[in-house]
Amino acid sequence: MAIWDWSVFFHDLVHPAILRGLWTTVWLTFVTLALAIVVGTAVALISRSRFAPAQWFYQGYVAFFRATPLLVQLVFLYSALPQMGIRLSVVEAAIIGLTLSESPYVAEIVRSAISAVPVAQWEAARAIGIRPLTAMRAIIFPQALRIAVPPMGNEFVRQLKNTSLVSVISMTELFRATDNLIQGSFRVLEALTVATIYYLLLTAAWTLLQQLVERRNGHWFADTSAPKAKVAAAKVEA
Amino acid sequence: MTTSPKPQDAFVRLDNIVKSYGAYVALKGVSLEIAKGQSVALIGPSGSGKSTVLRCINTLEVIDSGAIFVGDLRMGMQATPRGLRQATAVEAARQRESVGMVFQSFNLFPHMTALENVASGPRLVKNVSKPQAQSQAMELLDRVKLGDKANAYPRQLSGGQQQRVAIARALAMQPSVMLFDEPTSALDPETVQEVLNVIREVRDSHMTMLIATHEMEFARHASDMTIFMEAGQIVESGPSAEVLGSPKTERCRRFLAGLTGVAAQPQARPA
Repeated sequence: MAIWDWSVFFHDLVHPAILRGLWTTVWLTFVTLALAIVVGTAVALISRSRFAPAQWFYQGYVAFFRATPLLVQLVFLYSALPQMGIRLSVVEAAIIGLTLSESPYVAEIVRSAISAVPVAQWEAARAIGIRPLTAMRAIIFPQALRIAVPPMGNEFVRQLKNTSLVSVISMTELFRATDNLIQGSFRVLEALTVATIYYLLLTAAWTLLQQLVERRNGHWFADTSAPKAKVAAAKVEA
Repeated sequence: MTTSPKPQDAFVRLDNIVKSYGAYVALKGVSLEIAKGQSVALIGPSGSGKSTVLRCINTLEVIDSGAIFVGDLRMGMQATPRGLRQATAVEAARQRESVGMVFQSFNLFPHMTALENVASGPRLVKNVSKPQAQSQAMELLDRVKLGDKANAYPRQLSGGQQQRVAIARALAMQPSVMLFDEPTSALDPETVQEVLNVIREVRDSHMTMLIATHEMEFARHASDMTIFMEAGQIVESGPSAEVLGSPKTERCRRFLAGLTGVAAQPQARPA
């Protein structure tokens, strides 16, 4: 048996089960990250309340979901909840688990991005008579978004990799599909190489997308301005 | 009565304002009156409380005691059938619509063009339609001589240009009074005049205004009245020519002499 078999590699690369698993990984990442952004932003907004119980809720929420491993959360949702009479399907448990475990990270990013916008921006908005909620939506949020995009890129990559954990509750995403293939062929190296390549491609595609977003978003930001680059170049020449 | 009767001529009135930050008392009982259409300069050393006075007037700061009236508004307070109570955030925002404020550091919205900055108030507060808000904003940009910079972002503008946009942004809300918080202190010397010219033009339109400034020449020529503050108190006030020309108090005299230095005593000027 050869160390590396190209025919196995290409067979695995386009295997329908692998492509189905790949698709599951993609939609699971996007759906749970989108949900985590919604939940995380809501939780971050709660944290801005001066009402003390809101603060406690925030601290507790973030502490709880960050302190427990995703693997434990997933198995808990899928296998422990039925004992309490709550039965979740594999897909439900996977979506809920990935969303909840990711949401505190999003919440912290959103919270810090909002507080990174200078207080003077709030004051300028208030001075014009802009109502607090409108100021948040139209003045603060667009600026916070610009700050939040790079760390959110990290979260996408993390979430993409975390989807592989739902294989333990028998959801057939890319990793479990690969594993299933290995059970039949016993060709571990080729199959895992295929999975690795797909994970890398997804991450690369996301990085490109993120650069596009940052460029589109950053035209009013000094750090992406062409003149500044010219000044830097001129300094180097001098 | 929720709004106590005011003298006919006072449009802005401060009654014995006290404001402290923790143990530090920034304003120790400040009272002043500004008539409709009057232009008043606030001068004094750094930390004397000039900015705090302005920030209290449009309730960016909550006062400890005293009362502030702008027109028939009791700033920061809301009338109810059971008397006055602290205004909510939304009520305070409604009051600020009629008080324009210009900051030392401009504070334009960096993600909006000059035109969008100027149109932001009417768009976001008064729900004016976009075309109407923008054509009004364009007029204001022309008025501050920046019509050609309408589509520039703040970072593409000089300090003087940004401050003129900020003035246009405040004017877009058609305020009944304008507050200028050291509007030229953060500017390069060569752009100070262009901003002062715009402020002078605002004054000439009979806007009621209060300007905290270190520009004594501007105070002398463009303000009807000058108020000298020190350590959270008004030390001297009166017609600008008097306060700046022949101050009555020793402290005001010393402040003005320190600012102008040798130039205050022309006879001592070296050849």
